[in-house]
Amino acid sequence: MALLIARLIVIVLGGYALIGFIFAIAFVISGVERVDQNATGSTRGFRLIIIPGVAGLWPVVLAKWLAARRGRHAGYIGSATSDMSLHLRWWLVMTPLLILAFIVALINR
Amino acid sequence: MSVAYRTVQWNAHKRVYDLVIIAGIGLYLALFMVVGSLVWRGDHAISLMILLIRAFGTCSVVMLHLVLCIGPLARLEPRMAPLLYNRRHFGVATFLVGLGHASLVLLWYHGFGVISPPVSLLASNVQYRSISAFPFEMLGAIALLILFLMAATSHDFWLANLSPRVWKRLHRCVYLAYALLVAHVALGALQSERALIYPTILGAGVVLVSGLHLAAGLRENRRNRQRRVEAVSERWINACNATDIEDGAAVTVTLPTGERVAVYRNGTNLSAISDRCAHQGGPLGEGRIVGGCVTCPWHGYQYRPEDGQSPPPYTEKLPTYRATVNAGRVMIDPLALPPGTRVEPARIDEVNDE
Ligand code: FES
Repeated sequence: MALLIARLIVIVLGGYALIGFIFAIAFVISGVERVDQNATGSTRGFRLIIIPGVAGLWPVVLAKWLAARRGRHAGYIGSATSDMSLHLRWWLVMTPLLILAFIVALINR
Repeated sequence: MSVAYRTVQWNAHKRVYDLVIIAGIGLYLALFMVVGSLVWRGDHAISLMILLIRAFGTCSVVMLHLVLCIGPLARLEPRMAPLLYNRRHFGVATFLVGLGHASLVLLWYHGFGVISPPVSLLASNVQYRSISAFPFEMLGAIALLILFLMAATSHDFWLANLSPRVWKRLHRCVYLAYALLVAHVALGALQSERALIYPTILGAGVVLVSGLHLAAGLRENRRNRQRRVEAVSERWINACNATDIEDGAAVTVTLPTGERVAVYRNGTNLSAISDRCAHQGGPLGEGRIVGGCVTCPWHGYQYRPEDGQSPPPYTEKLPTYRATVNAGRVMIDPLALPPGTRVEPARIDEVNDE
């Protein structure tokens, strides 16, 4: 059973990555300029370097590519204080959890 | 910043930064191999491959700790900001070293059987209810997947196309990767290595990273409270004394809405822009005016103070705020104007009777 599930996971992930890789090649050849005008005249190295990201996030990139004709603006990053308090809250939760996990792991050695 | 993308926008600082990273990795691996072969010998002797696996694994753990310390250190001590400048290359290097560790593990422990190495990794241990025999490799694999996504989206192309907000959120997943990595080591290597030195080192790392992040977060919260300014009328907020602002620098205030505004002085002109850099949220109020433009202390993005726009050919924009001077006090209209809106600068000698 474990072997069957493992095989399934590998097939699904492998299929996702393979589709992503093929899509990424097509995207860097003919889609990237439509999605982002700063890619016009970009170097070959730039196109190569974005291939892993495009392959990993291909559904997102595909949606961008399809929506490219409608035009978009990247938007602004947002308010500073909300970001910092989110950061603080994250670490207030994570610190005790990390310490707890660490202690449990040590006790069970 | 915008304009035609290149693989890397190299400059002298980045070259030195990368050289230090590569030399540091090489030195660490070499030292680990030498010290490891001296420590693990006789009854405890391990093969060269396992020594390599440990060298790469510990190196990526150390690197992730360092990467995570840079952000809060730069917030606590502005002189550390140059470390932030090329942090993304440090992150990519961390992923690559982690990938080296994972590849060696797959090859050594799962590469010589009849089933494929990834299937073998997933199926060989499924004791998810046990603590001491937990399949800790899966935690490392998920952490590596997160680091891959971060490394793969580290180019500015992704920042512009995922939007800065989504990009920042995606890259904040590094905290999750860190938690998974700590669990990976605690449930893996620490279960077999009984000596006290190993949990002590990891524990110190956790305390250091968490402590720095908590200290930076608490300090920012305190500063936001201290910088909070109140409305004096329906329209205007009393920000500071005009003379408090040094020429070429800014005073940062927190509006009642929670937004932070940097009030910059350029000669006798005063302009108010968002404190948050459009690139990765750097504190613009801690920057300087260079060549007539506000310059972010983190990676050097520039904005014109009067309209919050990066000078051509760049296209980044910040929200701006109306400002005026009344009896020597700087007043700000708390309503943020759309990014890139031009606002006539207030003059430091201006008198407004509103
Ligand atoms: S945060 Fe990168 S330049 Fe401002």
